Amino acid sequence: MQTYILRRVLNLIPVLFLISLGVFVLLRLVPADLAEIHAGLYGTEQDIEQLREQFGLDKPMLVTLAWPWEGEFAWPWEGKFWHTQYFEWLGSALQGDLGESAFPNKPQGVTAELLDRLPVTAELLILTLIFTIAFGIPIGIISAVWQNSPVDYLMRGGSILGLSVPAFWLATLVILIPSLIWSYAPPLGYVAFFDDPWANLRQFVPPALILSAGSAAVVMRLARSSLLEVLRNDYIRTARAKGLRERTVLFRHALKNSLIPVLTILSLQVATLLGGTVIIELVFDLRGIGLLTFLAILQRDYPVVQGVALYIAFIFVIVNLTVDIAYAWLDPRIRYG
Amino acid sequence: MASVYDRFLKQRLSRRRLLAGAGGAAMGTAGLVLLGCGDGGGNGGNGGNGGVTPIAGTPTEASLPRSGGTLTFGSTTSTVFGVDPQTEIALGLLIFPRVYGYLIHQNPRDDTVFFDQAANLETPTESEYIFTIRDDVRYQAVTFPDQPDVGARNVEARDVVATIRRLLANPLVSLPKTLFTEILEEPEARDPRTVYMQTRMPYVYTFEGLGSIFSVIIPEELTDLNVVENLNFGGVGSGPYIVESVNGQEEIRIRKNPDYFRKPVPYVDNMVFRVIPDTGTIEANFRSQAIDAFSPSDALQAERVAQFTSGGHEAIVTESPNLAYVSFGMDVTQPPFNNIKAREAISLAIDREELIEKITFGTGAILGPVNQHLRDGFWALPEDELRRAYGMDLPKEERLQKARDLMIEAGVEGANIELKYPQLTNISAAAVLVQQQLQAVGFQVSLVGESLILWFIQTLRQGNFHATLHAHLPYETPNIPTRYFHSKGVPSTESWHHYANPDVDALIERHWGEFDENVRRATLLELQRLILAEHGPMLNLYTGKNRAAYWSYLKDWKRELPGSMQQYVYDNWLDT
Repeated sequence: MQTYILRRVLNLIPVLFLISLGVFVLLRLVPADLAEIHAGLYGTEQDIEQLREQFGLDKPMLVTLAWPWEGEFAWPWEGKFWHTQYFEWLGSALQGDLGESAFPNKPQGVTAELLDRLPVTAELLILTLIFTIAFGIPIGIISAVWQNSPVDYLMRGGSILGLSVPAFWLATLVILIPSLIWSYAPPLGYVAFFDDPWANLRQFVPPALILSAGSAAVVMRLARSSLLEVLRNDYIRTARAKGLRERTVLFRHALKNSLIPVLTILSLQVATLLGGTVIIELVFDLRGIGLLTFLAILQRDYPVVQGVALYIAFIFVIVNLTVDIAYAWLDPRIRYG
Repeated sequence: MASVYDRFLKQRLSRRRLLAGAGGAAMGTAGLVLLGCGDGGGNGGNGGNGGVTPIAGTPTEASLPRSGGTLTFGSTTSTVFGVDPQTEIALGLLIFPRVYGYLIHQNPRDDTVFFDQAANLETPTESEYIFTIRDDVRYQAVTFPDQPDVGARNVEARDVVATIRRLLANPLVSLPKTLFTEILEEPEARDPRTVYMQTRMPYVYTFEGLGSIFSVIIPEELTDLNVVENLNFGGVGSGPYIVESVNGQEEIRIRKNPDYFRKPVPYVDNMVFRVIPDTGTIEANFRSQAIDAFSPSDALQAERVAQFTSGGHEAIVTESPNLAYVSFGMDVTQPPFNNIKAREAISLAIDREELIEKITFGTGAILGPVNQHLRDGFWALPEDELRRAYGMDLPKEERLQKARDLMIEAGVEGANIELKYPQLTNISAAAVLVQQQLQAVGFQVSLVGESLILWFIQTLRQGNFHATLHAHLPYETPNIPTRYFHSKGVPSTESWHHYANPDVDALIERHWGEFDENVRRATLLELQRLILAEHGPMLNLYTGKNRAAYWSYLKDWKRELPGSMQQYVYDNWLDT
């Protein structure tokens, strides 16, 4: 098991390196660099050059190659090779410094900004996961137990609705309808749970419910099909033949085994939900990482977009690693595979 | 004082006048429209000059203003740079006019000059300006992190000189520097209260430049560009409000300056500018009175908001003509636009009325080279003349047939047009309509949408387009709108449309020196007729309306003042 974990962790290094390289290069393929954006409509070429120097954009992007016939040959380990935009950014990132926003309207560095916004996104994700589990698994069980009954059809129809309705549309309705009927809007500005639990929940419960609609539907469908499959196994038939009560068969023998794939999908939902928070945070005016990403993309704030992309990729990779390890722990066949 | 300036200087901003005539008016104007509110241009526009129409609610003013309270304004847009008065192009435009002071302001409705921190102006010749600064204006008694202490001293002439030096050296400046680079000699501080300025030629737009929203006075101690970024989080000004906190993507707070020289304003103790990026969310928060005022994004939202009542208050929604507008620009060195008949065919094929109907919900107006919302149409051609020029006096089929005939004569039937446009809601919709209209006469039009920033940087500034829809800023005089047709263009270096016509250049340059406004008007009308006959390089299409919504407990939130003038008055108050 330890060897398996070590191997998986080592595999992460090239993955993260490639992600960082991809994020960095792709963002630079977008037309117009930061200097041009800052210089605006009236900046001169001289202004643009001055800004390029200021932002370090006059340095080579990936590597500095000096050839012998150019008279300035230097081996990569002699240092010059690394003095590029990418390696300087990567070096800082490895030390926890994701740089500064390209726009001076943010009072702190990208890392601090991410850490500041993390509680908002984390709370939203945790609440969403709680709702996903609270709705998805029981409904999946009910649907499986009463398979092909009107209840099952109703639940399955509901799950299809949950999967089909776009979260942004639902969010807009949830904002507008209470506003039009009761003049109600969720409180503005982040209120920490421990400062004012009621205000905090008024802010977070509606977006978490909306965000969980899709993921609960996925979990419900998987829980249902997985439970149905387990309920058809021989050992369940044996349990029933032994005269065990149906509730015991279901909860003690079938449910645990049927939840293994559900747990896997729940972990993967975390990564999916991270993407979903962008729009939900925008609509509900929650100052989390999603909204930061949205605004940074609009402004072409590359350092922030880079930082956020790397952060999301990191979370995604770590979640996958956790799932792999959990799976290997639950099913030993995997680590010997 | 030279007599030519008398009419400019006939009104000064006395306290009584300020309190009586000026409205705090929409914080939402310059910035907000710039940011996409209002439907004249995708870029929005300042409240126009043509007056304000309340479309719902009855603005009532109580007799005695009351001090105190916190006014919260909602904005869908954040700051781009911060609150640096020389670089910011978005939300910060609503903040820095309240924090810093100006020498003068110019009212675009009638070009009159109001004195802010200048006590007096002498103009010995048409090219010389001697400003005397008031002796009772002091900088705010605060210091910001990493900034030198200004020491609550008086505003002095050296600050004006240093501010202009900073502007010239600053690569991030967001306005055309033409006045300061090409027209104005370096100003001189003759003594602590006297600033001497000289223009290289008589120039009627000097006051426009000196009184523009960006021409604040920054204390000399803060003009070192090494602290340029720091000004984005606040700086010491001499205006009615002090910056309290700046988080440009979230919330900006300013508080009353107790030492402001023009007492008793301001009345409101605190102002909060809250960024709420989603228009539905901003509406919901207005409904719940979490915010007191905002700019509805379009006519439909304005109509909906106008029905709101809550807690004994009603929502008031006003509409005013927009100074921003939309144009169809062409690179006249490329076919088919290098053929004047093809350009005329395009002008005829574009159905401006359909654009107005579908984009501005019928609230817009057709447009000549100069926006008719400027000074109640004084500088603009009459509408019937524009209608004739655009073939709008003809039945639609006849107009389209004429366009087709012109295309045949020009040999451009089926010509391809690549139309770029900034991806703002209204502009994107206009691009689709224009595409359909041009295809109806036989052009092949492909659309290329770009983000606003990219469109500015890569398309417009580099003249890198075949054809483009322009989302214009809210220009307050005919200066910039006419410079678009000059061979040196808006930045005085090159025409983004690669257009050069010596006759057009001569008329544009002539009007710069015409201080008699009737003479200048005649030149401007002649210029516009010439531009219309050229059918390019830019066909102005339509302008729209600007909207503001606020609760009835917000008093003196008037809209009388046009354009940036709305930013300069601070007598609004809260009756709660």
